[in-house]
Amino acid sequence: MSKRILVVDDEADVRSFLTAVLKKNGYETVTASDGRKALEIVKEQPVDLVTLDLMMPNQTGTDFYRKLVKDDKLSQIPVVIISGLPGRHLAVKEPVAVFDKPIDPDELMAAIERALGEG
Amino acid sequence: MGRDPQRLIASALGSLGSFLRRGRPSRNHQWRDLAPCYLSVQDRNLRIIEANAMFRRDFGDCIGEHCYRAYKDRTSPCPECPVLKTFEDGENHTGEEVVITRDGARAQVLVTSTPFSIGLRGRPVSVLEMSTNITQVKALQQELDRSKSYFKQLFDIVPCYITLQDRDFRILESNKLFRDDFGDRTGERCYHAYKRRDSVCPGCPVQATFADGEVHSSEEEVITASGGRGSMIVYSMPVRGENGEIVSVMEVSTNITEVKRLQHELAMMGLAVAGMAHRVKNIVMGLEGGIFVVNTGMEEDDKGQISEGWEMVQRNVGKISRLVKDLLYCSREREPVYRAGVAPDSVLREVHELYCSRTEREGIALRLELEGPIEPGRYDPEGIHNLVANLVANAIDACRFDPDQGKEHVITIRCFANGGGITIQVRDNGPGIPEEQAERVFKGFFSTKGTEGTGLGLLVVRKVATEHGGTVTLDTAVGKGTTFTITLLPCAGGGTAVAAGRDPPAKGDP
Repeated sequence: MSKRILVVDDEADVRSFLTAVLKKNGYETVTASDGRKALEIVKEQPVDLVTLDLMMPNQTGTDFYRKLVKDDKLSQIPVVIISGLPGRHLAVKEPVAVFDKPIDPDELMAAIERALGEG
Repeated sequence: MGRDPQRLIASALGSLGSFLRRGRPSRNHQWRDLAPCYLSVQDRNLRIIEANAMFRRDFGDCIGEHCYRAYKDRTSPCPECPVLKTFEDGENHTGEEVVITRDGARAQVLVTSTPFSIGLRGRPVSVLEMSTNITQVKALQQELDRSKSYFKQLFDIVPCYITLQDRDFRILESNKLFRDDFGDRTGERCYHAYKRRDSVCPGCPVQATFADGEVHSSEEEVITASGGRGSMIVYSMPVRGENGEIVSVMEVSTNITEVKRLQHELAMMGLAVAGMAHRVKNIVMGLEGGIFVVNTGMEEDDKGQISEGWEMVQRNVGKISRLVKDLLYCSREREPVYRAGVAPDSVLREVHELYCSRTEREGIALRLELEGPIEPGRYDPEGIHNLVANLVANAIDACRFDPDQGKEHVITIRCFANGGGITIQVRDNGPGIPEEQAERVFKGFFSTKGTEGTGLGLLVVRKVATEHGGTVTLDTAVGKGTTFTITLLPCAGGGTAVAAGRDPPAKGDP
């Protein structure tokens, strides 16, 4: 059974891009356009990894990340940050990988596979 | 020396003459010698009959000598001699003369003559001449005149607008620079002279100085006589009377239009560079995504994916195009082009039409409310189009990202006449902007990072509004929505006008 990745970004085209890359590499995807929707999804359905943008309307990626790592049931979900804000720190816990936009799909896939123990 | 002191002295001398004529000889002598001036009695030939102690001290014992000889070592009477005039008409006369004492010192004297003894035919037989040494007074007078002239020069040459105002804000005095740029507004109220207002400005520093006697300052937008607009930093300081009471307030205004413009441009440049990098990253990623999807579609011979990827490419090329356009608006590259007879309502109809299908797809109602007659005027139509388009794009983003998706979203573009100009409002019932963010919305690339806006939109809005001498205000409540209110004034002047407020008003733009 393929693993499910949650793609969180407010830019529709970025979501489409990441979805296409992930699907091509055999992953199932689910998307959210802000942190609030992303939190709803991780609470409702199983998610193996999250790719997370930081700067979004409603609830930022940073807020989502803080809530995720503080939730015992969800804190083990690996998170890959894909952001246009280089050098932004997430003090609570180091994400498994941080990418500055634009990304190289091969590098992203390598990081995801490593995080999921498939590399 | 003014005329009044001369009259006083003449009158005093008249009284003294009467007193001396009536008084006893022994007492006369005493008074004469106590008088702090030169006193002499002269006959018709201007020979000195009597002289007081001070006269004898400075000019020697001149009894029998001609007055002009004693005073000036002249051989003939002085022109305009007051004593001769008194002999002619029996009246008091005054004049100013320079005399030479016996030790060679020159002294400036105020001379007054009055009849001393009257002959049988009622004509003076002798005349009393009093000369008061006014050398020091004259020197002080000259010093005072020099100081006055110096301060007047300073008042006029300082590169500031200076006015002196009373408690009713009436201009009592103004300096040359003020008169050059705002006209002679003496007697007019400050707020009308500077801003064409009919009431005192909110936070008026002059009012505050009258209230507490302290120095106050504020930043103000003013309108020159030629219709140019500019920013001023205004200082007000009290001018006090002899008893320390505030009699007027001096207002000094420095033109900071250019400084403000540079400051703003510098800030915008910094923000633009950082923000643009951020925005471009997303666009590049969108483009790469489009190419990736197209390539995948081609590999898999999936026309649906090819089409989807190509749309992504097109969308992101469109975004770059808008970003560059907005950047141009925020830079000096794009000067506003004012045209006469621009109907703002037509511009708003265009924008409404442009966004109608977009909002319909998103399930948002886009309304246009044009209230009353809106007069055509001299506006920058492209600027206004971009201003409204940016606000509508922002409103669409706000509604799209509203957490309350059950709400029926409505965006309203409203326009009505306002004085000589217009007010445009773009209102949405989206999520509103939290208070801490509302203060930052006009800073470049402040972004809730919606997909419609470029992040420069509100800079464009503010720039266009400023160019039209207008303002932008934001009214927002979380959960209820946001209203942007823009006031615009038609641009005065002719030709392809320079942006109002960009040149210092001293230049008399536009």
